[in-house]
Amino acid sequence: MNFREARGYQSRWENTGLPTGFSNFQFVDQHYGSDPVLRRIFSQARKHDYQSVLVEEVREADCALLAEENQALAVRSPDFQKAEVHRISFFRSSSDKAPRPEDFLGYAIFKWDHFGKESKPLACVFEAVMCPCRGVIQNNFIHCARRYEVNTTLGRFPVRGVLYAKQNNLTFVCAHAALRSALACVLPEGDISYARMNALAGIDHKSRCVGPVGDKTNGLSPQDLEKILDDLGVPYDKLIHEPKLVDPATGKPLIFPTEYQRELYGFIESGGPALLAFELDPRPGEPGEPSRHAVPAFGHTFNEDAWLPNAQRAYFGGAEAYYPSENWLSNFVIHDDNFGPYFCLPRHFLKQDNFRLMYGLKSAPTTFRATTAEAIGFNLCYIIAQTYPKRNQFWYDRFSVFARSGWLVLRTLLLRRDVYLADLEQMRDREGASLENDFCQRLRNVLPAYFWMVEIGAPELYATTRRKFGEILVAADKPAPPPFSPSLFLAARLPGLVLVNAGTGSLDVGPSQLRGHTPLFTSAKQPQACT
Amino acid sequence: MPDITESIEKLTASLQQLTAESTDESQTQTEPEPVTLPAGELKFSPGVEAFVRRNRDYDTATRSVSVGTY
Repeated sequence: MNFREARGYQSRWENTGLPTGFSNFQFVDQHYGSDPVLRRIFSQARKHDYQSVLVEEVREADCALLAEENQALAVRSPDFQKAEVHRISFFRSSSDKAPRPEDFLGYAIFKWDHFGKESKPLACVFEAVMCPCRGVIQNNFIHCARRYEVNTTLGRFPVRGVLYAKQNNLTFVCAHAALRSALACVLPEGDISYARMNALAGIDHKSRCVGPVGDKTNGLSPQDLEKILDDLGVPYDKLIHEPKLVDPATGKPLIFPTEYQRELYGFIESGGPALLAFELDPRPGEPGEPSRHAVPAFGHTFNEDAWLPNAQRAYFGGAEAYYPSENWLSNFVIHDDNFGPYFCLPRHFLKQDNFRLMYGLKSAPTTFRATTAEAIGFNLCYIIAQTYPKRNQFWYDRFSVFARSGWLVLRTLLLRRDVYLADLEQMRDREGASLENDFCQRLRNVLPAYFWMVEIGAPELYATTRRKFGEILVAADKPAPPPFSPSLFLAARLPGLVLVNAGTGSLDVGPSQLRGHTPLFTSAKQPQACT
Repeated sequence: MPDITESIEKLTASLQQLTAESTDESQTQTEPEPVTLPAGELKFSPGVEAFVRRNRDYDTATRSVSVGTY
């Protein structure tokens, strides 16, 4: 029994609309010790113009998760006495009428842990799921948000969002909280307890503790994080940047060879969250290595008028002969357990110098990442454009010119076969033309369960109208190149032209009646509760 | 990487050529008959090969590295 399902005991249901004079600041100051994370959560409810707040007490006897957390605290700190928990729910409707499902904006669990008789309780937001304030229409994209249901005294209500969690620095630390948020996006049950994570990592709060121990503060190592991910069977990629370490095989420092932001974008665009970890700037006088911190990253914003794509290539030595779609990204959307949910991390703020570690969680195992798939897709675009330079078709010929001139935009994501085929079957160009059924059927026969889709566009098509020339499909389960194996190429769909690799040693190439540009793939077609 | 001015000129000239050709000739759809393309013709360019090799080798070298705590 988790905090969402546990029985609540209503202590207040208060109107909060601006005409009532309700003050978020005053409420959090009076009842929640001026907690800054809770103030952030209340401010997000205000952005949604919330009209009432419901506060319920959750008791240990009704919530196995609370009992489990308390038990861990008792082992970790023998002076632990008890915990008090409030479940705080936010509604668009006022307290004089029954809320409808669409009125629910989210909830937060606030927990006070009491130690000894004299000491002040430790208080924190244990978890929260709030509906994001910005959605697709504001160019904010969170593909891995989940739907949760909360069982309140006013009824059961749904909310779609990414679970936020904060460390208590005793039984779980920042890496726990970050990994919990990331795992909540991918695990079927939509959450994981700290007790389970600690059991998998071998943290028993006796022989091995996290948080402050003597004059040291213990955290989770990459090995611990991998143990948890491996035991849960969650596919992931690991990226390391440790410039102070040397690879014994080559004698070279372990400097990550590409920009970590492009890899992070690849995970997010494929619908996966990532755990992003970095080194803090050293504090004056602090002995030893600087501290490190981890946050979950799960979304991005998009700026269709970004200057960077052109400027990067023209002025700052960009070497690619295409535009990665990541060039139009402005911010990553993250939680930071220290500050609260749904912050924007500007793409160029967290420098490569500070980046240390990333785990990108995936929906299926792959033998290489999106950046490699994109490079393969780029190569294949060029080969196709060289082989078929001109077909006297308006949009194909423009694809070919943009490919041969180095002006394509490529966007790469990991897709499931049935999702791709469903998108393909309803796809139309502006003339209303669709793909031939027999091509869809052939793809159904040759495509594996998961593969990389490299979408191909031109800057003005991609950024302005969110459309594309077509796509190249690249195998995700073949050995990482080089050498190049033709089996990496699965199929291509371009304006008026389709290519399929049936594995016979040659590609089947044929015309198609779908000769125009088509919409980019978007997982945002799924209904979004809050946008 | 060609100079950006050169790159813009190349793209512009190619698009202008396409436009001129479509104005001069009637835009007849000359569909090629379905053909096959030998899969062996799909090869990496040196730049792409170097990029993917570097990524793969780095991943292999760092797979078991576990440094720091969080």
